[in-house]
Amino acid sequence: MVKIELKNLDFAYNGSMVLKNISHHFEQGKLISIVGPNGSGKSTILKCMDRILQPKNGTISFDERNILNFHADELAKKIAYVPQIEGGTFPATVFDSVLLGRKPHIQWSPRQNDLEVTASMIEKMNLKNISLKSINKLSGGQRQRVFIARALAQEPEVLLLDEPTANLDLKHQIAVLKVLKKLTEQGITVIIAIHDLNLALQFSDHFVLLKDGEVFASGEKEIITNENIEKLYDIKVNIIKQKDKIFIIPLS
Amino acid sequence: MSKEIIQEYKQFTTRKRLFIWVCIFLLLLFVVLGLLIGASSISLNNIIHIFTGNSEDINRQIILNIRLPRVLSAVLAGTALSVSGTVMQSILRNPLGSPFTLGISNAAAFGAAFAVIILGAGSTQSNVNDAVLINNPYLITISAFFWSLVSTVIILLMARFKDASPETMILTGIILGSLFIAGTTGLEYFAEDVELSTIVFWTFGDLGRASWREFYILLAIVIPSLFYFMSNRWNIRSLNTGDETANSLGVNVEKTRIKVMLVASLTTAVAVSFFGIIAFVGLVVPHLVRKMIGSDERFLIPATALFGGVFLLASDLLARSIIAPMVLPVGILTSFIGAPLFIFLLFKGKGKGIWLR
Repeated sequence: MVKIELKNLDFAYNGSMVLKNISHHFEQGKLISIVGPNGSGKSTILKCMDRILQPKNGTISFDERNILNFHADELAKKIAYVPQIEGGTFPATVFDSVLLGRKPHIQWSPRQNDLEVTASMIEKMNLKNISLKSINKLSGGQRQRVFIARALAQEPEVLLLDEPTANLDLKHQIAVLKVLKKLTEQGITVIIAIHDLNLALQFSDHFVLLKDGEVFASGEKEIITNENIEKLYDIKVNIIKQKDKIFIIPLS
Repeated sequence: MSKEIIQEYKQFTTRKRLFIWVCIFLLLLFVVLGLLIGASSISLNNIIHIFTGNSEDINRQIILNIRLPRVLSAVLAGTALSVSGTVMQSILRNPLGSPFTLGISNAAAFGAAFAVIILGAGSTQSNVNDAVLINNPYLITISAFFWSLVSTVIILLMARFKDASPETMILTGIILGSLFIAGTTGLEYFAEDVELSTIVFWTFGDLGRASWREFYILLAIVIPSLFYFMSNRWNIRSLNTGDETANSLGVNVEKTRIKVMLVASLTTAVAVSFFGIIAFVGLVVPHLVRKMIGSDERFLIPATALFGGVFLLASDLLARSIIAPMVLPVGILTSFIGAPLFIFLLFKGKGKGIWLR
């Protein structure tokens, strides 16, 4: 089932085209990795999908309905976004940060149900021992988990994450992606912008390769070929297949 | 398991609620003290009698027409400045966000100078009771208010045409502040002695100018804006996490930031145009309260509203009694208390993140 569909999407920033005529659809319950060189438009595409940026032309639909027709709170209950870097000047506790994800659901004060959802996301993300700690005292990995927990507290159907594994060590990179993968089993569509191809290869169901603001190729693992990667990044690579796993080694 | 987490969290918020109750208690206490303390000694019994009975003596005049409006105006002005500072800090994500950093007070001071020199509102006479006698105090107030709104509108226009980022707003505010200081200095250069002293006296933040009329106007502005901030507290909290996250949580980022800024500026402008520049309250009170109960706007907004009222009221009491029977303008005192307090907060919090619980 198609969850999000982009049709002829153009996005320009200060006159220069960042996304050019992008048409693509994202299937429900899949983990989709958007990969491509720096400046290829990965973050921009995510931000357009959550209406943070307004495309110049084209439409984005969620369940066949234009996202422009959603009320802000309504959209926030459907699509959640985790930015790459989040700069809060006055940090809150873990619990308060996650509770903020209930904002689209809360009228005036949080109800018992909001507290319960918050607590269960805290448990899910393995943060229960630090639920009253301030988030600026956490490690990068813990903080990333807090932001994912907050996005999950929105109870979205689509989760967009910009570089969720940046700044994380190997163990936490795997942990975060495992969690995301598990979410897809519950029917949540997870779309990530990611640089680490090997990590993406291990966990993703689908790939979108972006180059210069255009979809260069898309599909399952099969599209990750020497030819495609070399064209995408302008470097030589060696692709090693081991059992059903694929590894990419860049050659200088 | 999740019950435990919720239980812990509820205990955590109970402490914040407790702080709010302590502030309410302190507020009541200082209001009573504010009525008791003054040049002529009036006992608590006497005051109770004035409020319940209908004694017609001079004390009734003092309590009902001098002390009570002054005390209540102090509370409202403290609330106005502190809450405005708090929400400005949060939506601009800047610990230095306050009515003063955004140039609003300097604009008001310019407005006062403008009224005195260009519009001829002030002349000073020395008499026994008061050093300054301003011919037309309302003209000064209106002009101060007008110019502080001009400064706000320029900041908001900049935000409209460039972008509504916190950096744009703070920088515009600082630059505007300097521009208005230059304007005031320019006016002062051409002023006569009498005019000059009128301007200088106006800039001293002084609650002695409070009467019932000021109180009612303040009340009509401060209470609705408090309600506005409270009803927007989740939006304000979201903005503090960053524009993108806020957007994703369903907040209309630019609209909210501009509206909250406008209401906060209006609230400040009223207090400043009535009472002159009462420095540091809008900066120090939010930080003190953040330090005590954390930065959750749900509790922070009511707590700073109350604590700000207590802070200014207590400062004014001190100002009235420290060199009695002379009365010090409270603005001088808040600067003397506020500046060291801010530096103390800065050092105490070193390395620990002072903006935290």
